[in-house]
Amino acid sequence: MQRATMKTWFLVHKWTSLVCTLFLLLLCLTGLPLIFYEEINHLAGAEPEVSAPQPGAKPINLDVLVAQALAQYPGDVPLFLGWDDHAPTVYVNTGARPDTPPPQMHTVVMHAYTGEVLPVPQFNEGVMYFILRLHTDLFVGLPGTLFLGAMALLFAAAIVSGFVIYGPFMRKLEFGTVRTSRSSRLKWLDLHNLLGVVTLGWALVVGLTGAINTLASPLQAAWQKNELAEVTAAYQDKPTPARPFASIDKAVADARAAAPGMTPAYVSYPGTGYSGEHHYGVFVHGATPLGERLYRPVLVDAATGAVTATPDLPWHLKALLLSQPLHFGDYGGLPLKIIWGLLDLVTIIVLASGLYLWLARSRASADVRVAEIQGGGLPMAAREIP
Amino acid sequence: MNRRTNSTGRAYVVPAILAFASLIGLISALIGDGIFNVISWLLLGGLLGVIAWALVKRRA
Repeated sequence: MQRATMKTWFLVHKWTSLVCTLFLLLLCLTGLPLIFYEEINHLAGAEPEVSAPQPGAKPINLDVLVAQALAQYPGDVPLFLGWDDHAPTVYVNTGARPDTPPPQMHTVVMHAYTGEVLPVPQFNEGVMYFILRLHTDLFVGLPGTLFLGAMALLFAAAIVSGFVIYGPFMRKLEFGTVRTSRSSRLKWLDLHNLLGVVTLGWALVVGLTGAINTLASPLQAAWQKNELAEVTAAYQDKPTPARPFASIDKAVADARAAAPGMTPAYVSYPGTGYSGEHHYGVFVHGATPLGERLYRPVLVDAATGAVTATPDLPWHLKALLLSQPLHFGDYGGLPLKIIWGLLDLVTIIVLASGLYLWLARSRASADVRVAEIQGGGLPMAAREIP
Repeated sequence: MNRRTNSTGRAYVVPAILAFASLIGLISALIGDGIFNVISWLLLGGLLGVIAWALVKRRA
């Protein structure tokens, strides 16, 4: 490779890394407990043991459960309700307004078959929620989320540019060489290269899917404005439906019938930003690992209770849904989560060693570094820091 | 192709194999459960094995 080209790649690696490293360290540190969100919540009692339903028991009418949830928070309106994948429970989110954002939502979790209100802490309180906000929006909403997405893109650029300068650097070295007996800088440089190149594929996928995830709310909003508006064009000039809305229990039953082979996962109320101003969005999903991720809305008129449409999600929302497991690591059982956590720790070492290499740099110029890369990773003794 | 690009290319053989194995591992558990999960664990867990191997065997 030409010297000038190599220098460009070296500088790209240096600057993309420098800009994103501190934020990436934050994301890796906060991401670690988030991988085990479910397990930690379980230990903390956020998902209490729930008695299995009696054989032949029928689930409680959803309208009753929603009324029960609203009784806990007088003055609220229902926003979402949904089912737990692993337990016979139903949650209902409520809030002061139909567009109440998650930080201000209230949640009531109930036994689906007995209606018993379960003593579960609010999802938007506590240490794990604090960590989640640090990881997803730095407590400032969409701008924070998009900023972290930009950092994830810089991280991906740092990985690619690091990969480009890896080859010339390793030209005269065996794969995996870690020179521990020379200088501290050389040891950490070799470790940085080894750990970085081994985790490259994983880190690139987790970084890029993280960046895709930061686009969730803009994509959701665009879908409502375009595709959803098209399907519900007949409703455009209608006033928003008056409360009380049509039966949610019947809406869910009709949605089940409209989407055979699929199971409802959650329902959005009109005005929540998920299903327009006039409809319940009954989001159904399949049973396979892939089908489980690909939710599909059944739109039910909240005034009349009639099924309006079952639109197919556009490709960009499907891509978003499929990118989520690849970012969270929650799709291959506990062993995969543990591997995810360990790879996250390795990435922390890559970031920290990169930072160290920059902080502990000698006064050598970029040209000297480029010469080191081009020399096949063999530094001259004169350049070493003892 | 001269010798220099050849040896640079050789430095990429193992990383390319590892990146490919990572992608298969990432996709496998998405496709199915059971054996597909096991393939994911082996391929992605294998990355940690490679690191451990290098730290023990390639220390210089």
